Amino acid sequence: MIVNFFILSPRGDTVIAKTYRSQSGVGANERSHTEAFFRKVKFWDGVAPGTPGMDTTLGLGDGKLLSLEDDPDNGTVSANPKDSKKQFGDAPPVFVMPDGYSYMHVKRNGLVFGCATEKNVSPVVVIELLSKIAKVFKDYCGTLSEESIRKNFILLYELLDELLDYGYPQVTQTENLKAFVYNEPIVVAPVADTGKMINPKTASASAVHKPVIGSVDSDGRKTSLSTNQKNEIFVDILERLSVLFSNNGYVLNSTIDGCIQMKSYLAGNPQLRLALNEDLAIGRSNNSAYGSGVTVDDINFNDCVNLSEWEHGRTLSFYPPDGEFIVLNYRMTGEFKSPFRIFPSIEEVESNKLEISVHVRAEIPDNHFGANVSIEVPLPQTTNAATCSVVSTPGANGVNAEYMSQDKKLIWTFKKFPGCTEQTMRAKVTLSGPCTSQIRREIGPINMTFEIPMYNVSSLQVRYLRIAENMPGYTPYRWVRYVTQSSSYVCRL
Amino acid sequence: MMDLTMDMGHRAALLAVQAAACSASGPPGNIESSRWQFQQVHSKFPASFFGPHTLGSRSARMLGSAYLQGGPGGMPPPGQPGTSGQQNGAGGKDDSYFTESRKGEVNELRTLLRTFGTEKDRQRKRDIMKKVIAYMTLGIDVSRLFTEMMLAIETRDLVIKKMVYLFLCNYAETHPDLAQMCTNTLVKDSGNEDPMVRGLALRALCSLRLPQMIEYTSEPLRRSLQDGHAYVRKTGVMGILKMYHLNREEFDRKAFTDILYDMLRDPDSSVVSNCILVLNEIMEEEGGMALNRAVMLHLLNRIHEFSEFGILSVLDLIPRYIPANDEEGFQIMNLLDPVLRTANSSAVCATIRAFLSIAESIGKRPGDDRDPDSPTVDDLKKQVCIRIRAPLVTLMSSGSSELTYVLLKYVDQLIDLCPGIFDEEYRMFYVRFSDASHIKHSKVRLLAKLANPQTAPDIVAEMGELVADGDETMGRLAVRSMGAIALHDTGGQGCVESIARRLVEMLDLQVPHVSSEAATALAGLARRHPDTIAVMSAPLPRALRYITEPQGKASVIFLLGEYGESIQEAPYSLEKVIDNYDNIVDDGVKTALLAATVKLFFHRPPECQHMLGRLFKKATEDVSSQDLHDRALFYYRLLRSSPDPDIVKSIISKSMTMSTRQFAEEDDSELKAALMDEFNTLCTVYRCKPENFIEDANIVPFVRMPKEHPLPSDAPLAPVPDPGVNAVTDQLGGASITEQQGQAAPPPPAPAVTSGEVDLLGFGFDEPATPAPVSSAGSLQSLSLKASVTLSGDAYQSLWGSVPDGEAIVTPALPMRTAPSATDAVEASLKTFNVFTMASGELPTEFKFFLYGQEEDAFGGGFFLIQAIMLKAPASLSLTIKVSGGDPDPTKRKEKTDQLIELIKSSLGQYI
Repeated sequence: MIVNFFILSPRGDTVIAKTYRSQSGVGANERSHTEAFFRKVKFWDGVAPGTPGMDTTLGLGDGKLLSLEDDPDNGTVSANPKDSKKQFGDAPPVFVMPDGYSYMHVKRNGLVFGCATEKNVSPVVVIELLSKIAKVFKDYCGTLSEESIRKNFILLYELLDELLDYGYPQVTQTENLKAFVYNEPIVVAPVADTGKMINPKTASASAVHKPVIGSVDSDGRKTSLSTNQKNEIFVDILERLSVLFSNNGYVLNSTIDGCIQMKSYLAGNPQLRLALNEDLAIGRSNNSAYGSGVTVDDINFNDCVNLSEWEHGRTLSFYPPDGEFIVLNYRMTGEFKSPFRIFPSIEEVESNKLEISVHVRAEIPDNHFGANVSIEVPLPQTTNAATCSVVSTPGANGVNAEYMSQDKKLIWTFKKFPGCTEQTMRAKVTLSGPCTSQIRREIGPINMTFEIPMYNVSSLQVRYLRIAENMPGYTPYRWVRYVTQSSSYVCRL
Repeated sequence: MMDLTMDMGHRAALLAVQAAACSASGPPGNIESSRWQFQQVHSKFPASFFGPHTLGSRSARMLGSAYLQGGPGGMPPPGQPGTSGQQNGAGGKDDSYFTESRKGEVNELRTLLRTFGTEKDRQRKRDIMKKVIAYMTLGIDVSRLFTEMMLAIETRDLVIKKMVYLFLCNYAETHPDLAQMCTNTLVKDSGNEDPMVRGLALRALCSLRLPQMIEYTSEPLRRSLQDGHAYVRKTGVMGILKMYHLNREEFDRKAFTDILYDMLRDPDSSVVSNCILVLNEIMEEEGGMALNRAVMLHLLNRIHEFSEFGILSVLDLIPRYIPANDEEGFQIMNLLDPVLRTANSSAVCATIRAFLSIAESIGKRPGDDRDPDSPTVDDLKKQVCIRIRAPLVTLMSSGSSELTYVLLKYVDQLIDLCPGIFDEEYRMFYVRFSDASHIKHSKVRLLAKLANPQTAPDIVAEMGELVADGDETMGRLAVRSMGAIALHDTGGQGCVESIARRLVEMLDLQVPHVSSEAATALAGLARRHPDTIAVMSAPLPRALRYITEPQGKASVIFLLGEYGESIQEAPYSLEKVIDNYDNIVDDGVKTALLAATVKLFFHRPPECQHMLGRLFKKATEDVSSQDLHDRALFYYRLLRSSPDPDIVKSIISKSMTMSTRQFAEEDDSELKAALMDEFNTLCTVYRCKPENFIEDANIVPFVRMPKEHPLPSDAPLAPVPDPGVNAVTDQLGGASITEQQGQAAPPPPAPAVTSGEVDLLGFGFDEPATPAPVSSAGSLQSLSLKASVTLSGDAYQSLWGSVPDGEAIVTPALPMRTAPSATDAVEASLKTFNVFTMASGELPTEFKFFLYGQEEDAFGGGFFLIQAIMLKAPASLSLTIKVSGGDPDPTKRKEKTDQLIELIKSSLGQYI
């Protein structure tokens, strides 16, 4: 199925490499093929050379682009890789390389998990496999970073041997792999990104960095699984919002992608029962009857979930697998209350002076707040200078607004944006020339990113999470969190 | 389309472009040529990329961070290895560490390894090993330590054993002699009491890739297949595949294939899925492992036992299996339906393919006189698409960005199969701020396909916003998508015009790439919807001045030439371009200019005569393009030599407008059909056939198994019903497919199938034996053709063109007793049955007839258009029938067509 597998660091160094089928004498650890691949990913030029009719970014596979590339003397295509990046964007996860193999890769925490295949395989399977490998590695190392992988490379080769044989997936479940693994992970302290977290409550389950098996710390001391392991389970109800506003505040498009994510460290791995809102309806067509209930468009479940009580009680039962896993995914479109409303306005004061004001209203209850809120307003390329002033209500924390002259945009940030408040920013922008309609079009769209702890938009609720059998004296710690995040929160200007 | 629009206005050019478009899909040989290119690129790497210095320091960095605790040799701490090494020289190392050749490092390891035997501490032992492996994975050649490493193979510590195996497999190929020395140990280990060790040794043994070792490996392999532990059996099965690739003769001699088929009954599902994978690869040339009903049902009944990737091996078999009857097909679908609810995207996609394939097998086809209520292939496929729509979109929006990209391509292909299916989910395909650019681009292209009268206003408005996006490619694609919506007129009433107006606005936008793309889109639009000319004509002369990109410029010039009659300033705009001829670089613009000026000359001779003369002079003297030069000469001579300018005019100013026909580039139904066979493969992502990107040797043909697979009564493959298995299945709530026939007996064909199958052969080969006109007259009751019909040649052609080829009914070649001697006799006999002849002709090997007839019915008379080809030797008749108008009910149509075929056959009774 695949001929090799490799992990590349953000700089392109091969961290882990394994060859499953001999590639005419190229050894697993020879860097030549991964280096060519890495260059291709880094400086994507929109086309995989030598593959006619292929999906070029410009859509037609038209000879134009190819011919320009073949001829380096032609001045129209800049040799500067940065330009080509701008023109062609990011490398897709699947493309053909000149060696005739199709290379596929996924990026996780800056690392590239990649492989090549000579056959006409299913790209979904390979992408899924690579994601799975990344997940297993994370489960065993605790964190996924270049350092943790380098430190644990023997363990990872051991895992890889069981995950894949001759390029075919074998044992891929974290808990099933335990039986085959003899090395102990060396725990690497996670990169401190706590500065981003305003509240430990917002930390998602993925922020728990514990390997699934007993480990040694970096001093070589053993941390035994049984003594140190708390009997606990982390549950996240995570919702990512995609909302598009028109310039008058009207919602053009809105979607919620939600999931329930878990990480279980429960002793004895008991069966769990998870119950959701009883009035949860699935499918948009049959929701007209119930006005009050929660309606999701569609929902899918992890393989391990038993759905026998789903249709009647909206209850799931499952034996939680080891490591991090997603119990279910759901998506909703249409009517829901956007947590923030954005009202922009642009005024032309003089021919080359603009006044932009952005007004944001939080429509979440006042006991909630938006954390790490950032609002970006792109300005025209001809911008000379800009000054911002903010009008904040009390309660807003860590407010800052500035003009980034390099990127030509205004950035307005909050550490804390309290619910039921309104915030305003005004900016005076000076352009180098008169503001034409074309220059006017360069302003925007406004992009907003935020995180709302302990709040979810869809009102999907976990009614209860129980251990199926009644076990006296078994009291696990439960960490249930609701988090709403922005995925694409954009306002047109 | 783009190429066409900037081209000249006669058919020859059109054909040339079609040919060019065909060749654009390209030969697979290009991969070969690009390999050379690749090496070139390679040699252009900066020296520092490969330099030994970089390598050395990199290895140091890696080792430093990997071993904080440090081995006996002591390693410099992580961080800046260069400076720290210099400063403290930890562990007796000085700055020479970095300048020293790698030999020194390896020698040091050798010293360490020699202490290995005496070392007592397990952790220290492991650390020494780790160091060797670390060097190896960095690409440093440590093969000189082979002997020392092999001494360590005898250990009870599995961690160390695994590391030695890793080392061994890595260097065995380059050091076969040394590797052979440790074979004995491996063979011995493969008989170890610990199944883990047995499995590991076996895997290592098979991974050595040494052909001379086959004799040592085959015996342990054979033993492993009967091992009590599934892990060993599973590894053994993969070992067989490795052996197959190493030495096929030996493989065949050992008859491993039969053993593998037997092992499909293995109680452990991971062994079974490995067997399937291995068999599929071994029998690649036949499309995969042989499959019959018993095996398929056996596997399906156990499908709940398989792991998340193991299940794929079974699901991937289904498309090659044809269900015995409709009921079984539906049973399989019901069994697999729960898979669609899972988040396992690879299983969902494999299931989609399986469903589509089952629909293909059990759906009713034209010419099939099964129960009229049973769904047709297309109906079933549509139902499948509706069923999988929501799960697919959920996977797309909840998965990683990589998965989203691939699934977008899948959705794209499913839309081609069932247009309109994803329309109502169009908002899920809106571009998101956080999407990677390749996802954004795919979405913009996809949105154009989701337009229908309800969704189009939103989609077009969204495209309008994206045009101004900072990403140039996005802007271009947004314009193209808008153009595509208008071109296909999927947006309902008024949509074409409103898009045309938007595009015209973009012409004036002063953003080079946007106006150029808009011009190109308008040129296509004008050809398909000539009534939009009025909207776009006014700004064209002005657009010509500021559009800079060649493609857009050529499009504007084309428009000016084609519709110059109605644009007052057209000649003067063109004249300015001609005056500036020497500054035009692009051949496409020049060619467009030539064609446009010649065309305009016929509409407005006095204004154009002089400039045309000047252009001819320039173009014939222009040596930059052979094509341009030749065309200019051709036009020039044509104009000079022709006595009657009207003839020339009729040739040259033949309009390119084609309101009903398809653009040649869009007629890719053949490719789409080919891609559908390869759904859920890389073909879906690349949108091209496998031979375009995969070496011939690696292409696995898609071969369906024959419909019936009679088993010999002593078939070893019959599934053993395992009550335990079924109990598990039931418990899991999955439907189980009941074995309808006896376990080992060949399944007798179901009666329904028999009739269906015979019918598929079509129109009864027995039928001609009784060509009694009486009997056919009986069945002709509902079809009556009008006695006098007139149809002009042009009308015939446009009717023929209006019915897509996909809807035509093609009969299989019908043997004839004799071929007719001349066309007249045939025409006469057909006419008595009210089937008229539009044209006919005799070719060396065949007669060709274009026939037509009009039906007398309630729908104002549907036309039957028939193309009949009679081969002379061996005499046979084949018909291609298209129905235009008439009864909209497809089943009625089908009936009528069948009757018509009978009618034609009976009218030709003397020959058949």
